[in-house]
Amino acid sequence: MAIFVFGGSLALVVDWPPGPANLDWGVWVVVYFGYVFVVAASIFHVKTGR
Amino acid sequence: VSVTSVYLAVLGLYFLAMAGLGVWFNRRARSRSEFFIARGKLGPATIGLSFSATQISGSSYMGAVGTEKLLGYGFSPAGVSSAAAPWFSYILLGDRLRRVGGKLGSVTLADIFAARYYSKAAGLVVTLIMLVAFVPMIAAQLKAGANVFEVIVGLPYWMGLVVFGGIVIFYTSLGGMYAVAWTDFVQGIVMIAGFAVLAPVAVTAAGGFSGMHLQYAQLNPGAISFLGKLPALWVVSDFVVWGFCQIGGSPAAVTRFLIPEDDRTLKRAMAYSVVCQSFIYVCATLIAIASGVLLPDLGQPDLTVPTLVSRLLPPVVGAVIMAAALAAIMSTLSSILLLSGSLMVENVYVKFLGKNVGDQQGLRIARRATFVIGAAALLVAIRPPAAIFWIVTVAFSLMASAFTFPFLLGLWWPRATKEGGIAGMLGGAAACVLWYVLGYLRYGTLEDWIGGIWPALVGPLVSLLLVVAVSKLTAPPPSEVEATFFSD
Repeated sequence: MAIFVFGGSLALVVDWPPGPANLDWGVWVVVYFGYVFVVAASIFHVKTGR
Repeated sequence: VSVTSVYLAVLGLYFLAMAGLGVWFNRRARSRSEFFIARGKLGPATIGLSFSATQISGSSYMGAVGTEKLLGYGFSPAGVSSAAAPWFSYILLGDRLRRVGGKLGSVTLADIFAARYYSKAAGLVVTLIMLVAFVPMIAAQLKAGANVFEVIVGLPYWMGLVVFGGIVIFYTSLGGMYAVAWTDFVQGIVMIAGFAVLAPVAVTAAGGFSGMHLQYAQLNPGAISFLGKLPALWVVSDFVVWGFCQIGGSPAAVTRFLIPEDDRTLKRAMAYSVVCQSFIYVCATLIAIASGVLLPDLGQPDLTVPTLVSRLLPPVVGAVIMAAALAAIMSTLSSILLLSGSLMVENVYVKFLGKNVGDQQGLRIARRATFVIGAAALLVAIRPPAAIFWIVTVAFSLMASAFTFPFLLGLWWPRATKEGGIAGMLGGAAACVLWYVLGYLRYGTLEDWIGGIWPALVGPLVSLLLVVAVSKLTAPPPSEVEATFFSD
């Protein structure tokens, strides 16, 4: 959770280089990878309790 | 067969199914506590999707697409953190709230506050703040549902209101939490299915994922990155608040934490909820960007989804997506209605007025109270006063400001006292309202805030300071509080 909140907040104000599909890497990291991260993290928490 | 007939047929079937669930669960609840909370009677998928469907209102399902179309990726981080909110809520409140709720036999979150802050006054403050926020919210959701009917099938507003509101009030007051959670479950699936169909069709029509972004960047250059259209503090405070402050701002969803009897069910429920919300919000982002390409000149953001649907999909599929939009409104509405009923019965009638009621009598009162609140909101929604829209606009921020830290510290900090908790709730709510007023005086709207900082961030911070400072200055809580809340 701390990684998500603090890392995510920081990532929002950083200048990101251009990435694939005409988007910058910031959008890929926070938005699209962000969804993958929260889903994976919540399932990991259910499975392991950590 | 006309398009309107197809829409009416699909929506009619959908409404019949929802009313049927209410009738099906009519005899299931045996006491008012079972009616309001159904503790231990629902599985993880039902609880999880019910949490999500409650949290996602009509405005976040339909309105967010229109807003994101205009603001672009600066608005998207709020969706990611909203999707994370069930998981955050579990980590921050989860099993302790469930265990304490079970130990105390709590039916509402106001019960938890009253026990933790060892005072009827604390429970009453929570009840009053929630009711002030909820009753206008019920009326506004009813109005939103009636408006969808008006726009989509051309029914007069009052008729849409009676049909739409009547169905929700019917199944909620008949089946209580059983009906609300199971209709939420079905509605959650309809919401997922609706966007699962629309998102790929819209992206393909807009030129595919990569081509769509190229065109969107040309049409709306600032909106392709986070800070091109919005101040950094706006984007960051939106991101933090939607994930972190749902524990205070969405009490109707958080009440789902009182349902499971074991930790495993609750954890699995929250994982279902995260998956459901992530899917819906990622689809919403794709639909929003695609609509920025396909409908660049559409003036009214709220009409983005209906316009896309009518242009891209056959009427039967379009009707299912409009049913999904109504589902988003209905699921939030029924949960708020049930919670308002439980606050009136448990916290006002039984605890504050000291009335003693048996199981059967309590069940009758619970049903009647839920029905009466719904009917009253229906009357207000016929011609809603302008003030209710102000309250609806600030309702989430108000509750997030009042409850987030008193709730959190109440569960995790044994030193938090009655005086600290009440000061935190009242002070947080007051700071939030003041920040809105200052923004309004400066910009003439509730949507712009001083420094771009959302009042839902200012209020909780003031509340945190007050809970800590006032608790330190007052006598520690009695030992029973420690035994109930912190014995583990």
